[in-house]
Amino acid sequence: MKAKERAVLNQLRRESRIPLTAIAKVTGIPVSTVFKKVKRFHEQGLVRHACLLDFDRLGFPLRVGVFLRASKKSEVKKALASLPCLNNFYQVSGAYDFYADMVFKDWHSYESLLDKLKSMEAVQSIRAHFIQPVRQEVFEV
Amino acid sequence: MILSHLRRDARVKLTKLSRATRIPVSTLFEKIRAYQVNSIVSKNASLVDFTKLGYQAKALVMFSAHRHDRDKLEQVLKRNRNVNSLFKVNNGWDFTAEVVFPGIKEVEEFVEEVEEQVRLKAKQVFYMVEELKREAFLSTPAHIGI
Repeated sequence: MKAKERAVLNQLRRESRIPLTAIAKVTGIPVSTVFKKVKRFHEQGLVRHACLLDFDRLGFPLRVGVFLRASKKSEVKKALASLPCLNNFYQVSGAYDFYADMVFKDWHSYESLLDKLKSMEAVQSIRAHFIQPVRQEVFEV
Repeated sequence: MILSHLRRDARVKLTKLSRATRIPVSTLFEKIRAYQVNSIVSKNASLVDFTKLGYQAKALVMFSAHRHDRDKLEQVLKRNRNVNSLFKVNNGWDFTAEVVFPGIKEVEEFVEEVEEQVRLKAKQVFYMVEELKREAFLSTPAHIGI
């Protein structure tokens, strides 16, 4: 990726609702070129613009990171992927197979889900941590 | 409902959002501004597929430090440009850092560098094999009211 493309991408990383004219002004790249580059990022499937939320302020104070080890990975993957409380979900290597970052409105909802996961035959072990964001999505390319 | 649209596409045009939600543009403008003023929206960020840019190693690295070294550990992790996201955690651990590097070698060097600066009680690395969902919570109208 060229330096100019990185400059445009980093502006979007910092504030994805930034107007194209503002990117052009900051980077010194013509607005028509910025438009083409942003369009190309989309076509390449390189970016998705998302607003990151403070879930606590929306009434979901519990955020939990759950590591799972599974005997039948596809079964557990499918079960987890359909959960509405899921925020981030990764297949990982090492002592566990999956990492799921989940959000809950109360303790009861969290415990119900944990019990459900523990009752699944394909789930061998679970490790859960409450998580609190310090900073998110700050890496610049 | 507005937030679920912004979760899927933060750059959506207000006119398009207005058509989808049947909320006037002026009201949307005020609401979106209020989300930011009230810190409900913590950041509008473009999520990048880093592998397409040559960053082949993404990992979750968990750290635990002695009580007196926790602040230092946080500062060390905040200063590192390859720490994309950082979370405080409990249950015997202090921080989880989501890191982005060109390769596994660089991830290992990063962990060694942290160890050289802070006395760690424990560390554990989980390489991300596949990203299955990212920032999905409240991203569809079906999630509203859960």
